[in-house]
Amino acid sequence: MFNQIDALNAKRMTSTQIAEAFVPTSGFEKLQNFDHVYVVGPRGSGKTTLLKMLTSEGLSAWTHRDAARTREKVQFSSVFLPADELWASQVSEVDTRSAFTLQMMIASVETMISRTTSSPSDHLHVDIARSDEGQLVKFLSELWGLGEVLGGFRSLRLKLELLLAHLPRTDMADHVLSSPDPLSLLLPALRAFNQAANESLRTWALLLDEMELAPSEVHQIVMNFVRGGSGMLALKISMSPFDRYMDFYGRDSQVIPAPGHDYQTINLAGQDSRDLRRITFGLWNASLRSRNLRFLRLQDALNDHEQSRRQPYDRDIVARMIRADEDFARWLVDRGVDLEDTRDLPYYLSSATIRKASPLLVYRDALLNFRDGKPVMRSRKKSFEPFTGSDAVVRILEGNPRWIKSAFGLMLEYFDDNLGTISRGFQMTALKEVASRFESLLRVLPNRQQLAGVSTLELVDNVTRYLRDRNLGAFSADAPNSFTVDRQSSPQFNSALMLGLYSGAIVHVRDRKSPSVLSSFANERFRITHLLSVRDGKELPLRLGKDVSLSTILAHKRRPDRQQLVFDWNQNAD
Amino acid sequence: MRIDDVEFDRYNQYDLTVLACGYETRATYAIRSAPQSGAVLAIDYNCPGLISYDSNRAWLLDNGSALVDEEIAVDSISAAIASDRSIRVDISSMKRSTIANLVEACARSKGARVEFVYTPAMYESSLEAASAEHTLSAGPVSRYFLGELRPSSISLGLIAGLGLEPHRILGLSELLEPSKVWALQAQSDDLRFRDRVLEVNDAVVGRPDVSVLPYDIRSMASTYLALESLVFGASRKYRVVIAPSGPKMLALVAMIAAARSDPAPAVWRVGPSEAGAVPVDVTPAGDVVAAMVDFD
Repeated sequence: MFNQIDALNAKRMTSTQIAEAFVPTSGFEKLQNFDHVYVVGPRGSGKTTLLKMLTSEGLSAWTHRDAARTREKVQFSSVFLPADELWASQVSEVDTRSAFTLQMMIASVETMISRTTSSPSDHLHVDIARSDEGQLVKFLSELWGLGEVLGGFRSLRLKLELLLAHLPRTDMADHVLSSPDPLSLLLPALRAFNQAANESLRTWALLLDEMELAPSEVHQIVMNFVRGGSGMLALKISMSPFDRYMDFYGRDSQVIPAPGHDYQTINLAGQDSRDLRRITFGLWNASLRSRNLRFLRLQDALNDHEQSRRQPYDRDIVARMIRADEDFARWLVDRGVDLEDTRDLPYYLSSATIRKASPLLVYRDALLNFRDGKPVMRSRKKSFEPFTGSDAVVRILEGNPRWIKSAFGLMLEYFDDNLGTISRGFQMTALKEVASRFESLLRVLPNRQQLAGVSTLELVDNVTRYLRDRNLGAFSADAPNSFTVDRQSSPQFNSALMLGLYSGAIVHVRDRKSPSVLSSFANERFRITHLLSVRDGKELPLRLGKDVSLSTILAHKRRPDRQQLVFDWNQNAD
Repeated sequence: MRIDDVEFDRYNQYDLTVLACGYETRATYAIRSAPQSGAVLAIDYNCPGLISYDSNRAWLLDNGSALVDEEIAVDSISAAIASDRSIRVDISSMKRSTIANLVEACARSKGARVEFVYTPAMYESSLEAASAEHTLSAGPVSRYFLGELRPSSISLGLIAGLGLEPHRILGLSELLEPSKVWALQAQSDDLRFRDRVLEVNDAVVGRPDVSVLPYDIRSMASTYLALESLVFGASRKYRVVIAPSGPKMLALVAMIAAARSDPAPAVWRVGPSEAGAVPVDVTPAGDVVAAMVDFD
């Protein structure tokens, strides 16, 4: 059964529909302030959802326990300006500034229509007499150089849409809408609306979605406004973690906005585990509701074993690995662990050894056999344990609403009503299906900068192969699972890295020194998204691990005579 | 605009014939079946040593054809239209961007009437070509087919041709995030095509927001009528993107429909990037599909 929640994509959903399943996070709280804000995250991470929840439609429809308080707090009127790949492909070829200005005017008029036609109890509803609306439309059409417009807001919107459609065939050089400062055309319009609505002090927010798709000219306009600003209008901007235009502006020594001073930043990638769990569990509950299924905890549905939740590690796996993996056994001995008695270790010793290594042991146990104490690759996973269960699923889905909804939609097709669970096999099938779709996206990502070099998927797979070999080779508790872009890394990988961050295939590992928005990759640390770690033959453990330089990874070639891993086709050799 | 299916007549003579000189064996199949005494221009894709390029090139030159670049071929078609000359264009081995430029030239010219021919591929060679791993790229097939700029608040509808290549339509769907997808599935006498297409595109066709519509690979006329009607209806509610993957005949029909639709949909290509293309031969199935297109 197809549910609205399965629409997956906030772009396809109205603000009202989004509100039905919206799970608030700390980022949403921050967005409610009247500040310029950059919402930074990869595709599907929830940026559009957050912005749409600031609109009057979204806030009016929201029935969460925080809804009333939020409606009280958000007193600015929001204009949502969407963007997508199609728009980006078209706008780059026509008069960019005019196109952006027209889109902005159309969105503003749509907000005016929404606020004047909504229910009186809705958020920021206003009443404007028909005659006043006519006067206002007359003023706006003069302000924007549209000529005579008869009728109300809808006629005005139609006029703007016609102008947009004719844009490629129209010389806009002398038109007021090709002004170098489009926002200077917006502010008087908003003030006029405030006056007509008897709300002279009303503030506004322009919600600019997917700014990474916008041409550099639009970035310039936005940057200037964020730096210069107006007390009446705030910009809330969603974009990818990498902003090539920040770098451009920096190089030209133009004044760029200062993070923390001119704008706030909300980072959706690398959210803390509490937010990850809140989003994932919240969307699980919404998925159940939308299918009229009874409430069931995610942990129970995904078959988390009570015993494994109580114990810090699986003793059977540890014992098995001590017997089979001589490098692991030697590592324990070097740290003072008595192999004959691992059950009664002091807490500090247990933490530093077995507990630390446990996730890696589970991963290796699932993917390896051992022959004479050395690891040998299995041709098929022995178990799905490293990648299933609620903890793993939360990590794999990275708090990405699109992936979460997609995965839960698939898992619930396999839901066993009698047992009240989804088997680990079906969990794995669903996760691999989501990963496969994501991989298909990576294959077709447009390289807008037309930089030569490897594709994002090639880079991801090269890094994955190296890290997998390291994690499945001779045991090391500190096997790398992330990479740092060092100065020796060739610029031919820049495009792949950029698209990787944009898509979410590559995740920036932020620390305190990391800039709010990246403008350069040098010396920054990244990892492969956990979602891609469920692919057969490309599994990585769900941990950060140490980092290794990208140039080291790319210089490494697997030579047959030094191949670290040998496939073991004998499945019974456990 | 009118498209009529016609029988490929090997004895018909044309003032101007345009085809591609590429590496596919089928590139010269139609012209070898129907040698022409009028001008024959072969768009030279210049890939010496690759599969059948050298033999194609040799046959064309031995039989009086001129090897030209694409721009000259397009200009020649425009000139032939203006002079009311008879024209045949063989799209079988043309790049989709080439087809786009030719359709644009016809759409912009008054009184354009052109016979388009297409040589369907054998199943085995299509399968082999589709199985080659490529780095893909996706985007508008040409500037002319960017599509009409409409407010980005209007939802996006994707009309996608299903092919034998995995990942393409699924990847494009993930990229464009359409609210609605119409998947066009070629109907052919060889049921292996149908079965394989469904298998490879399983992740797309199984979705509830996807409608699967059949079209006849050997009838450009009926395909055009269906597509033109679909675009008209879809454009009321959506910004339409057509991605005619699969047989090239669909790409031609899609571009003709797009050139005549208002608002104009975008036509996108998703396929191997320039750097990522792995050449694989495509051999002819044995027949030639033909249609007379009257652009006025």
